[in-house]
Amino acid sequence: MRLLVAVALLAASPALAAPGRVAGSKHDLSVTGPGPIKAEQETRVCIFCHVPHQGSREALSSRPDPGAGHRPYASGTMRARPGAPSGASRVCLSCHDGTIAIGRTTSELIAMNGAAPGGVIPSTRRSNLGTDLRRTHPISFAPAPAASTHRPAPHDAVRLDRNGELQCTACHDPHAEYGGSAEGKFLVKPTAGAQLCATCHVSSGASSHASSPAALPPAERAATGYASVAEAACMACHRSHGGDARGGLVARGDVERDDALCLRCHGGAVARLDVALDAAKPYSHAIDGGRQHDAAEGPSGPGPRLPETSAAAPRHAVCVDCHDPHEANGQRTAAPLAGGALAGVWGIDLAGRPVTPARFQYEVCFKCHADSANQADAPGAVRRARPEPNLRLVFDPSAPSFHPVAAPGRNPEVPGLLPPYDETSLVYCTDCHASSSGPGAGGSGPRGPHGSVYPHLLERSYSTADGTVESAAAYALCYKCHDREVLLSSRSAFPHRRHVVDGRAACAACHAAHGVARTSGTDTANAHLVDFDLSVVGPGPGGRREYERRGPRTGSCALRCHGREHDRTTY
Amino acid sequence: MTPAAARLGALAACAALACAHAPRAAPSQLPDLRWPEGPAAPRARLARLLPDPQAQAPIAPAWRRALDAVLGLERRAPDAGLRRPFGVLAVDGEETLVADPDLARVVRVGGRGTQRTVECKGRAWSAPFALARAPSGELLVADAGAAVVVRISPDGRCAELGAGRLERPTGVAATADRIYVADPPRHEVVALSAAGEVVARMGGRGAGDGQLSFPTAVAVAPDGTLLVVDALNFRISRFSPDGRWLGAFGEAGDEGGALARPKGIAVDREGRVYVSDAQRDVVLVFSPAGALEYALGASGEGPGRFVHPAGLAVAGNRLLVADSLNGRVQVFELIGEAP
Repeated sequence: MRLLVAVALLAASPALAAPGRVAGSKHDLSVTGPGPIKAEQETRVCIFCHVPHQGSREALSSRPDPGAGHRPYASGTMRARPGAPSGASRVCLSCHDGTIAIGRTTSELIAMNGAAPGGVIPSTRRSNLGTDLRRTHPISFAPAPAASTHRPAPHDAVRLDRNGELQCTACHDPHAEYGGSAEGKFLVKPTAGAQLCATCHVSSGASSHASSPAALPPAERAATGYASVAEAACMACHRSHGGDARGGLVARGDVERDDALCLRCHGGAVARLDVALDAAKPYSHAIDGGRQHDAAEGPSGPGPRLPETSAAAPRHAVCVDCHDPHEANGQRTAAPLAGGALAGVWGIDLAGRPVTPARFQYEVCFKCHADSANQADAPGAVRRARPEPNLRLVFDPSAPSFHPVAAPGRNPEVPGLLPPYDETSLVYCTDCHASSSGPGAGGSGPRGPHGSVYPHLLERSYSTADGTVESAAAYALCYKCHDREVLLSSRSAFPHRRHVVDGRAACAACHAAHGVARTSGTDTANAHLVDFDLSVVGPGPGGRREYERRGPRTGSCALRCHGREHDRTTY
Repeated sequence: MTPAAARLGALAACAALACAHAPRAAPSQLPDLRWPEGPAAPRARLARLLPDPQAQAPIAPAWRRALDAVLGLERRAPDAGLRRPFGVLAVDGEETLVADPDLARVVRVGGRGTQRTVECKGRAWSAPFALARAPSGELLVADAGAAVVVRISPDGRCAELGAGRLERPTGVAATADRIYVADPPRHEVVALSAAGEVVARMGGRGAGDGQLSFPTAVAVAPDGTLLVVDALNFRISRFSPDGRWLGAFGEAGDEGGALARPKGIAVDREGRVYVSDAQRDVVLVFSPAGALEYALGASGEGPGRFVHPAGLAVAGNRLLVADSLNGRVQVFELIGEAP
């Protein structure tokens, strides 16, 4: 019987039968020199991890567990809860704790997955579990089913332990240094092309990153062995050990800004377009987002609130607020659909509810430009009667008037719309708010609202100052879609020429570019985006300052402007 | 008083009473755990946990709380406490020094749980692993990440010792004229003079007499003998102060007095040797001759249990254990020892 068991054991595990694989590898900790491995030397190679079951006979004291005082570690975006390391990982960590072998939290070395992050915060106190303290791939937990992860397939090289927990041994076979990958490190599968990570982490593979043939810089190529972004795949941005303490196993230093990772390649180095140039322009989305972004932010849940609910909450805009690097691709779409660059990002819909992924481009913008309580007026903003910073209300289809971002405009007749626009068209936020050197402005920079030389991140010039001399350049933004010739001719129902050219009134003197919300105006007084600039348009006879739409091509004004009284002057 | 007011008053009084009876956690209600169990006389008992799991979180001053309430600031909880305490040292009275390599911090924990970091001007910690105190009162910190031993004098001045001579120092101990540093990747214990010059090197890779395999920690016995955790030879080696090998005890194994992954070492004033085993999750207590006297602790997360116990320190009748992967330090009282 014992012979049978012995034979079975010998046949069972290749590792048992081949101590020669460990010998000569980094895990060969024996002190014997080179030469044929002999019997006793075989034993010496194994006992560093496989401690022999022996010792003197004294029993050790043990007590039933009086009750755990230990707080398991948690992250805002992770569903399973790792506890203290267990199982095979304990053996690994017994050397890889920084003493016998490397095990540290700097970016080059293997990091530790600790237990409770120091101290216990009483349950009544609001603690920000969204601050992810993790630097290394979590271990010693049974993965909970989630949309973005799944257990490895039954006979895969990547394995959970017999308790269904993920340990160091899921990705590393401590016996075979080069068994699974030419990279070594005892990996069971190569990391190139996401082979190892994709065993458990679901990814559509549709992102530009997954297929990009762009070459990595020579230094990085030499250090990592990956030639292109597609080959590096996950490892272009992530590290399994020693990632940023902010979480997500990102390959970025603790004190680097959130955007530092993206800009390593999208700052003119690897990717074709240079976003850093745009971000450096005077009006940009790269308000030093610094290190404020939290992957768990949202309208509910453990992370910080977004849209922000407190007027004093800091605002931030970093790359990943609008772009999901796992899904972003170059697919072009038509308004209002969110294009490939915004694929996978969550947003806030017209009703104010979170939607994942956002279907429309404006839903991504509404995360910060709608219900957020901490919106401040842009410097130099025009003073309106009842300004409404919540753009969700301004672009709502029930509002008196609006540019057609979320729904076609309410005016069935808009003379002079340039093709391809007509009265049923929808436009993107980014048709007006975009890079001043992007394709929309005739340049070759990146598309999108990264930065502009014009205030309010506008793609083209738009003067709001009273007394502006009219020209194609002064109101270039409006003339992008509204034919200047038609607007200033008699085909426009309202005498624009008299006001804009002769009177040198800016478009903004009478029109609010986004629109007027239901709570800020009425269908008659605020049709056609009319919302007077209070510093230019004064009260007329009887103290009234109002516009009245009387019909399709007719209306009247009661106000005083440039010294001229309008006593219900009609057009 | 109107009936309505009387009712209101009674309600308020009830509420106040209810609040008065709300359970207020007394500090440190630890279970009474003693080792060894059973008929043998207990030799150690659990005295404290640091940080105290039942202590209130630090309360900000009232003006700060009011300001936060008004402004609605969402301040993140500061990263206080210990993440992976590895080295410990008992200092005057109830104070404890803890080295945390993951937070790159050396912390002085007061008797009431208050924490103050120990810093050097112009120098940031890289990965402090071990602490020791010289008889002259200076603090020695083995900074493995920076490959130096930092000496901090009582007036706060810091000096780096052994620069360029060490690879990854993870253990340090001091006598009146020598500083001993354990350097695992070089399989050596280096003896430094007070000025920081290398005076002697003990070890060299091997399993024979006088050789070492990844020595992780050192301690000095009362008679001046140097004890070294010879981790991958699964033994505790003894050296004389001038570097002669005096012998070793211990064997590889997972029961009784055998060592599986010895990590930290400390010696009490009677010469008893305390060794933490990071794989067995126990602290083994040996007689000066190397015979097992008793074992302390077990694997787990509750009080009196360890996950990867690392550094040890003994002062008087206090034994401190850095329970590294539980993120805490456990303090035991050695029964029968004088404080």
